Amino acid sequence: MMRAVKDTAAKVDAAGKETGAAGWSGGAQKGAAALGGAAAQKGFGRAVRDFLFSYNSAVIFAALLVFATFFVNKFSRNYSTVIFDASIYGCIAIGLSLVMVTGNIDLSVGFQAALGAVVVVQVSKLTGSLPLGVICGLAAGAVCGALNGAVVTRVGISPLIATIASNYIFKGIVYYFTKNGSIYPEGELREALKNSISKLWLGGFKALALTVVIVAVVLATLAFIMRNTDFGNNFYIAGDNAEAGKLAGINIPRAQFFAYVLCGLLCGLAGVFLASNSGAAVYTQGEGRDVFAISACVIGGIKMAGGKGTMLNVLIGILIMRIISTGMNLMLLPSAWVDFVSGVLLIVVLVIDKVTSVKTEDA
Amino acid sequence: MTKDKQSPLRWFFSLSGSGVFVALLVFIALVSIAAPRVTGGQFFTWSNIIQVFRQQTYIGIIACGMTLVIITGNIDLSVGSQLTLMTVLCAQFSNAWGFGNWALPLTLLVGVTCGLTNGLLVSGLKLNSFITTLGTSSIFGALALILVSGHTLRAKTALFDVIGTGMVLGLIPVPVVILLAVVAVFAFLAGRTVFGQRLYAIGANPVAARFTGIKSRREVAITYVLNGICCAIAAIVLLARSESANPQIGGSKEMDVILAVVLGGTSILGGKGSVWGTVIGFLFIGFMSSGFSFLAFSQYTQWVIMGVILLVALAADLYSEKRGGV
Repeated sequence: MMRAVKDTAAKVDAAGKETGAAGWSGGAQKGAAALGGAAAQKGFGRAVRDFLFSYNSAVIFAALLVFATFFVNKFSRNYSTVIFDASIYGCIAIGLSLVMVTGNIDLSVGFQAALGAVVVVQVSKLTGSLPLGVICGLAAGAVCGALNGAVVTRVGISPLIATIASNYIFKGIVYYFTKNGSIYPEGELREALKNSISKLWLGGFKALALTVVIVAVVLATLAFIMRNTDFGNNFYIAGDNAEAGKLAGINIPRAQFFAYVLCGLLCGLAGVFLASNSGAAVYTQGEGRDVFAISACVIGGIKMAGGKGTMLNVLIGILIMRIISTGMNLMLLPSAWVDFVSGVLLIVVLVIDKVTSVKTEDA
Repeated sequence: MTKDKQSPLRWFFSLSGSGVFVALLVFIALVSIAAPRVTGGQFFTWSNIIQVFRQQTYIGIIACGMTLVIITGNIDLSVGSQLTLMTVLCAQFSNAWGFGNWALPLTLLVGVTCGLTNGLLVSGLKLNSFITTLGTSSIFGALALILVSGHTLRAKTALFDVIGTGMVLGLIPVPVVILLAVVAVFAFLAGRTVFGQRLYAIGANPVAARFTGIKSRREVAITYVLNGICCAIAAIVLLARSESANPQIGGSKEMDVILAVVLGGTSILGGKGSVWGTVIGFLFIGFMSSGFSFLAFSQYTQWVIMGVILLVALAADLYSEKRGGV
C-alpha cells in the first residue's frame, strides 16, 4: 500500500519535472524538434506556423522590439530605461506568476508593494537605520502574502474574493500612514534611501542598476527552483492537477501557501525599489500595479488556469509591457493610450492562445 | 432531515445572504446604541436610511446585473471602467455634443455595446472572463480618459435635476426608486423566469446545461448585455446626482460591486445566489461605511475594518456550509 503511494508520487513528480523542464530550456528543444520534424513532413509554411504558435509571446516581443527600434525616435537610446523600469515594476509580476502557476490569483499585489514601501520608510524613520527598514519592508510583504495564503488555502475562501478583501486592508494601512500624500525620512537618511538601491548604477550603466541585478538573480533562482526542485514542481502540480497531486501525497495547500508568501516577499521587494526610486512612500504607489502584473503574466504566456508558464514567460511579458509604455511615452502619446494598447494586446493574446491551442489539439 | 421537518429558522438560514442579514441587524443595533454616546448623533433614522440607499444606488444597480453574470460562473471586472466611460459620454452627449435629453437613450445604447463586446468575447470566442474583462476594463477606461483628456465635465439639465434630486411622494428620492425598480426587475428575471433558471443551470454545470439543450453562449452574452445596461443606468443616476463627470469617477468600483454580490451569498463559482442576497450585500456595505462614519472612524480605518469583516463573514459562510447544516 505504502509502496503504491510512493510509486504514484514518483510518477507525478516525474511528470511535474517534465512540465517544469519543458519551460525554461526544454521548451526550446521541443520547439526546435517540432520545427525540424514539421519542416521535413509538412512543408515550410506549416513549420513556421507551428513555431509561431508555440512561441507567440516571444514573437510579439521581437516584433515590438524591432518596430520600436526602427520607428520610434530615440528608442534605441532607451533600452536601459526599459530594462530599469522592467526590474522595478516587474518584480510584482514575477511574484504573481508563482501564484498563477499554482492556479490562484492575487488582486492585492499593488497595495502589498505600496505597504512594503510604507514600512521601509516608516521603520527607517523610526530607527534611523535603512537596512533595518529594508528588511522590515520585505518581511511586511511576506506577512501580507502569508495572510492571503492562509485565507485562501486554510480557510478556503475563493482567491479572487479573498484578495479583494485583503486589498482593502492593505490599502487602508497604506492610506493611514501616507494620508493622501507621501512620507519620507528626513535629511541624510532620505538621500541614502534615494541613492542606495535604485540609483546605484554599476559602472555608470542604468541597465546595470542594483535593482536590475537583484531582479536578475531572483529570476534565475526562481527559474532554477521551478525547474529543478520538488518545491517548484509542486507549484506546477498544484495548478495542473491538484487532485492527482493530493492522491500522490503532495501537500497542495502548502505549495499554494508558499506561492503566496513568495509573491508577498517579491511585492515587498518591489516596495523597497519603489521607495528607493522616488525617495518616498506615496499613496498612489499601489494603484494599477495589479493590472500591470496580471497583464504582463498573461501576455507572457502564464495561464490563468494554472500549471503552465515559466520565468522566461514572465520576463518576456514584463518586457513587452515596458516596451509599449516607453515607446508610447517617446511618441508623446497620452498615457491613456498605453492602457488602451495593453488592454487590446491582452485580449489579442487570449484569442491567439485559444486559436493555437485548438489547432494543436486537431493536429 | 426531511424537508417537511425543517424548522422556519433552518429555512431562513438556508437563504443566501441570511447570515450577513443577521450581522447587518446586529451591526445597526450596535451602532444605534453607540452613536449617541460617541458623537451624539442618531443612527437609525429615516433620513439616514435613505442616505445609505442613496449612496449605494449606483453600486446596487450594477450589482444586480453583476449577480446574473456571476450566477453563470463568469465575472465582469470592467464595470468600474464602464461606469466611468458612460458617465463621461452621457455628460458629453447632453452638453458638448448637443443631444439634450437624447443623451439618456444614447448612453443606454453605449451600455448595450460595451456589454455586447464583453459578451461576444467571453461567450462567442470562449475566452476566460476574468482576463478578458480586465482587458476591456483597460480599454474602456482609456477611452474615457482620451475622450475628456483629464478634464471635469459639467452636465446640468432639467431632466438630470429630476433624476438626481427629485423626490417621489416627498419621501423617497428618485435614484432610490430607480434602484428598487432595477432590483425588482432583476429579482424577477433571476427567480421567476425560465431565463433565470437557465442561468443557474449554466453556472452549476455547464456541460449538463448544454446537454439539456440550453444555448449557454447566448444566455451568457445576454447577462453581459444586461450588465452593460445596468452600468448605463448607474452612470445616468451618478451623473444626475453629481452633475459632473471625470475620468476617475468609477475607478475600481468593480471591487465594491463584486463584494456586494458575494457578501449576498452568491457563489463566485456560479450556480448559486440571488438578487435579494445582493440587496443585503450592498446594504451591508452601505450601512457599514455609514455606521463607521457616524462613529467618526477615518476612511482609512474603515477600509481596514471592512476588509477584516469581509474575510470573517466569508469564512463564517464557508464554515456553515461545510457543516452542512442546511
